[in-house]
Amino acid sequence: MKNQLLLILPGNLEYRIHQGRTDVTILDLLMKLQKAEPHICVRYSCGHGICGSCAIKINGEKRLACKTKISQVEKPIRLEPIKSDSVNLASNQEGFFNEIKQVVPTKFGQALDAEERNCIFCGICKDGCQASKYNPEFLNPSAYYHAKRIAENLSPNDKKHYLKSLKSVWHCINMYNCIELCPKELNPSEAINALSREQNKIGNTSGHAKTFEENIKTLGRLYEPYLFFRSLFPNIKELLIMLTKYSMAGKVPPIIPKTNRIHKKKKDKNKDKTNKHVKGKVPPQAKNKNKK
Amino acid sequence: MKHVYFPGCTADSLNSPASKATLLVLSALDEEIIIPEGFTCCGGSHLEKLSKKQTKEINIKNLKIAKQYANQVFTSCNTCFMELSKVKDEVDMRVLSTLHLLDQINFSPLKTINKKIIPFYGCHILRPKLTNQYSEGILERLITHTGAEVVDYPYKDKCCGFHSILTNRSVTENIIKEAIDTKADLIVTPCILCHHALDMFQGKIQVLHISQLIGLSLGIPARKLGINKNVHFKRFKNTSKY
Repeated sequence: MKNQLLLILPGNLEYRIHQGRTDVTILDLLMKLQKAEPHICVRYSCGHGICGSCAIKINGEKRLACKTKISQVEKPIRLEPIKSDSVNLASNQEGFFNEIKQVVPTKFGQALDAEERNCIFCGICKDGCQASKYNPEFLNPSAYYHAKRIAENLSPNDKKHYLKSLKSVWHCINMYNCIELCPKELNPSEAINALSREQNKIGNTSGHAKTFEENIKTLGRLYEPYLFFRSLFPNIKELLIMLTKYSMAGKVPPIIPKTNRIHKKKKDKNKDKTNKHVKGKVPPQAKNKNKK
Repeated sequence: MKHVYFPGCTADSLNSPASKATLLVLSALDEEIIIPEGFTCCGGSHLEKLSKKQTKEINIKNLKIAKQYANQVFTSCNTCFMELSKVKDEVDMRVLSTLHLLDQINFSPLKTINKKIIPFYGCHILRPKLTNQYSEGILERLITHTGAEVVDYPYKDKCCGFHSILTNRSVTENIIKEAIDTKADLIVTPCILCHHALDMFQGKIQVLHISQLIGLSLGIPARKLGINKNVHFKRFKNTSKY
């Protein structure tokens, strides 16, 4: 029939709803459905994209149900909760909020400025972030977004103490999925980078990142054996495991460091600085390296 | 047409076979490649965590070196692609990945590859969206062009775990576990970092760089493309398959 919409809920339950208008939202549709089928569990509060409690997966994409119109999605509409441990469509957000509580210190609980606080605690970023999924030490992107705002409002002395408790910020894997997913178009990734810079200033650095800075200054390029050593240094057991794994696989980086810096003597000569490859032939650089 | 190649650090040391394959395939397709001297490490998305200004200056310098030869630069590393793309407007340059370049070149494969292939994009070619270079769908198009079958894989735009590979390998292990469950023969990726991470910490499924796959379809022997240096190849020695 015309004007009939097919909704697929968790457990492959199919519902057909008569809906004439196309400018209604998914949340409106669910409210209509809930009147007829009261056992369907939906969580919502404000209904216009402020509270973030109606975050669900619509055709596999994580979005806010109250901000998504029927005309914006493909039919049939498949709805899922954003996490697996959920009741029907309402996700269990306990883990997400526990992590938020970890960054809000009790002493400075009122430091958050309500007007500037844009994050709506929908928890979409935690679900899309692989670092917080597989690394229990890493909190969620939203938690660091708040931590950055809290740190900005503290006095220099308090800030130092506060930042010391947030060493886990270095576990970010630079996936940038949080920027893509955020329904409020915030940038938690930049907040994590800013927190890392603050951490670096007070001396909580990561050997991994520091290697990049040191190697660029001295060699102009990355020297991998040094990176291995700096990243894993206190953990000598892990260092030995990695070294044996790499040598067993035959993927040992060159031990003698190369440099990308142009020497002054070369600059003076009016030589062509390029390795030009002749058309249709194997590049000379590749040939030479094969011989080794 | 002239192409300027930005090799990146990993292309010269840890994963040189994939980088050599890129140069080999492009020169077999009659493209002229220039590798200028004096490029600096792009910062690998880690330098940004210490100094934003320094990262920007380094990459502007890199693009200015490339601009002496052509108006576009290409790289086979996703992270270098992202870091260069961030500053491309200030130098007015086009930044491409090997994936985009192979898509632009017209070629007809000599050999059909009868395999089930997982396309794996990696993060930094897709996110954050800085450029108009539209990457989604290109990998699938190139795979079907070689005659192979594309396998649907839900983790194709997720992180390979390269940037945390020394400290936490669970991200990479999960990607591989899910890939084996799809019963595909190969994983193909446009990034040499993803190629290294996915190949190094397993041995159960063959991982190829996109240029290695195109090279095979053009009839270049597997040994020349550096496929014999993959961990999977060393364990099983199945030369006859390629």
